[in-house]
Order: sequence, then structure tokens, then C-alpha cells
Amino acid sequence: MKKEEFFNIIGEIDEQKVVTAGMAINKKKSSPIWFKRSIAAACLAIVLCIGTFMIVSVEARATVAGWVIQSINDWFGAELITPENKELIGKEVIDNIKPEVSFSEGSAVSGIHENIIETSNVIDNVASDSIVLPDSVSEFEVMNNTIPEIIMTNGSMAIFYQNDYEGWNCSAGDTLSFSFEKYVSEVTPNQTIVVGYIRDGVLHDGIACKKLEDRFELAITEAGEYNIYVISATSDYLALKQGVIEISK
Amino acid sequence: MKDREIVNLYWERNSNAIKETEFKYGRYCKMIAKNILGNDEDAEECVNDTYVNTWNSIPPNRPNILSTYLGKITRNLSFDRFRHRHAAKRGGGEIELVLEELAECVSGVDRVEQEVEKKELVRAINEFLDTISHEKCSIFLCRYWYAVSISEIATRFGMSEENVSVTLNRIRSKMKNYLKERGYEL
Repeated sequence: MKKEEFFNIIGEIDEQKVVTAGMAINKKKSSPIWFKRSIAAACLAIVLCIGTFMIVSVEARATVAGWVIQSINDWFGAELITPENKELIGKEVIDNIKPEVSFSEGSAVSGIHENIIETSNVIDNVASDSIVLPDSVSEFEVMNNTIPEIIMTNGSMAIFYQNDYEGWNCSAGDTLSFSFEKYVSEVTPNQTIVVGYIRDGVLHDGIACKKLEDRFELAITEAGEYNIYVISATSDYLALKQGVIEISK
Repeated sequence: MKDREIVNLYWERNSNAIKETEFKYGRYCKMIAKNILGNDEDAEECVNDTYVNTWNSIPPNRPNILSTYLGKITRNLSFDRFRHRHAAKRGGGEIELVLEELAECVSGVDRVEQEVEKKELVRAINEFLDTISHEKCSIFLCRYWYAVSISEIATRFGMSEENVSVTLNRIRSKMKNYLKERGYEL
């Protein structure tokens, strides 16, 4: 076979796979957090320099300071907890900037993925139209059944997977459980987090958990590959400590 | 406008169908054509031809996924144009590198494949792609379906260019073995 012919044959590959790859091309690459912080720090330095030489009212200074803090906090979604974002744990979200959906660019191709779920490597479909979709999807690898510590903004979804986006293979009669603990919030004692599951790529509705420490248990009635997901349903930063996902037979 | 509505416009023979297609998928088609052809002028012409072909093919067709339907037409037209141009001179878009890489998977011997054989081969490649991760599958298709450059793939997937090249090399090698084991001597 000639290479040109093989190129044509690849053109006949399953459309859904092509769509997924197309979305990856159009995925907006977000600036690294250090870059945003550097910009914010530079802005802060400029503001302080100007402030030293200018006589402005207290209100005006407060406005400027608020803008700088907004710039620092201008991220949206779920991230691993790092030294850079650690100071946000338990804090109130003070910016009013409209959240940017991390995987959508609003370009001509955005019409392909009319919902953000399609950018996921784990979710292929949604069990019911009534399920409220998240504003962003982030996926986190789980090592030794232990989830990493993450911090999330309102409406963001975190999906947990094992190597190569695999879930947990469960048989009927098993119980899949997810034990987790939230960091204490300075704003509200009962932050809401929605915990749910994805079976064989299909997203199912979750349940709201308000306790600081909780356990989600799913009695498996149908064998399949299961992933656990969480959605932050609180307006302030929600941070999770390491949690454990396990199957009991 | 939703894809279904655009397709309905084609079925109604409403010329707004092309306008809506251009608005929604113009950039998408242009990206594919430019990756293959390497210049704006040719890419633009191919995209315009895509609209004409789409107009002529819907109806009778009713694509399930309009984006890939358009993408496939653009890809085929662009590749035809590339081959036509290539007969005269070398040079152009990313496609030459893509073809060089794909040459590793095939013998280069010219033989007439039956349509049914091609369909089976497509199915086998699809099955192979199901055995690798979603990310690797997308990297493979970005390169060999969309003809996206290695550097662009590296940017989009947060990888180094070297890493992308190594990943593609491994996928090609794995795919070749997979197909060989199933009796496909390409």
C-alpha cells in the first residue's frame, strides 16, 4: 500500500474520535499560574509606585487593591493544591470576574462541543438530560487509590482516574466507596460538594455532601468501569484533602 | 445555530446553509486545508470547494456529525490538490512530513485494494485506537487526520516536541504490529 492511500484510509476513522481530537486542537492552553501571578505582581508593583507619588482617595486605593486581588485570583476550575494556590484554601472568592471556561475558546469549532463535558477523556455521554453539567472539567490521576489534594471553584468538576484514564473495574455486588475530607472553610462551615460516578463513560447524577468529612458509597448492580467525580457547589474555594477510592467485594 | 438546523437548511435548499456553515465551521475547515496545503490561498479555495461539495451532497446525505463531514470533505479536497501540485513540484504544508511518517507503516507497493478490504482495515485501525488512551488517540489523529504540526500538538497537549515525536513513533510501531498480527500486510 502507498502512504497516500494509507492517509486516505485514516480519513475514514471513526468520526467521534476525530471530533475528540479536533477539540484537543482547539482547546485553549491556559497560561500557567506562575505567569498570572507574575503579571499580577508586576501590576501590584506599578500600582504601589504610582500610589506613592499620587494623592488618591482611600476609596480609590481600595478599588485598585481590589482589582489587583481579582487579577491574582483570576482562575477557574480545579487544580492540584500547590504552594502557589495554597493560600486560597478556605478563603472567600472575592472577584466578580465572569469565570472563564477553561477548555472552550468560543472559536468557530466551539459549536462541535456545545457542552464542556465533551472535552473530557473519561466522559462520553450523559445518563440523563436533567443532569446539570459543570462549567469546567479537570481530570486527576489517582495513585494507590489515593486522590491528590485539589482546590476547586464553583461549578468545576474533578474526575478521578487511574493510569491512562481508566476507571475502577467493578462487578455486581461490589461496593465502590470514596472517603474524603474537605479543608475547613473560613466562610461557611458546610460547603457543598456533589459526588457522583461515571460508568463506562456515562455520567450519572451525583449527591450533595455537606459534611466536612464524608463517605460516598455506591452499591454496584451492574458490572463496568467506574470513575468517581466531584463538583464544587459552593461559591467559595473548596479544597479537598487526600481521599481514598476503593472497592470492597 | 445547531448542526441539525444547518443540515435542515441544506435539505430545504436554503442558501443560508452555506453562510451558517461558513460562520460556524469556516475556521475549522481552513485549519485542515492549511495544514495540508501550507498556504492561505489554496486553503481558501479548498474551503470554498468544500461548501460547494457539501451543498451538492446534502441531500441526499444527512450527516450525523456535521463538523467531521465538512472536515472530511476539506481533507480529501486539500489532499487531492496537494497531490496535483506535488506532481509538479515539491514543497508545501505539513503533509509531506505526515506522509513520510506514515510511510513507515506501509510497504509502498502499489496494489489495488478492494473496497471491502479498506473497510476492514479502517475497522481494524479503529479497534487499535480503542486499545490506546484517549489522549494518545487524539495525538495520533491530530497528526494523521488533521495534519497538525508536531510543535502545535506539543503546545496543545502540554508536551515537549520530542515527547510528541516519540509518542507518535510508538503508536505507529504499535499499530503496524497490531495490523500485522491481524493479517494486514500493508
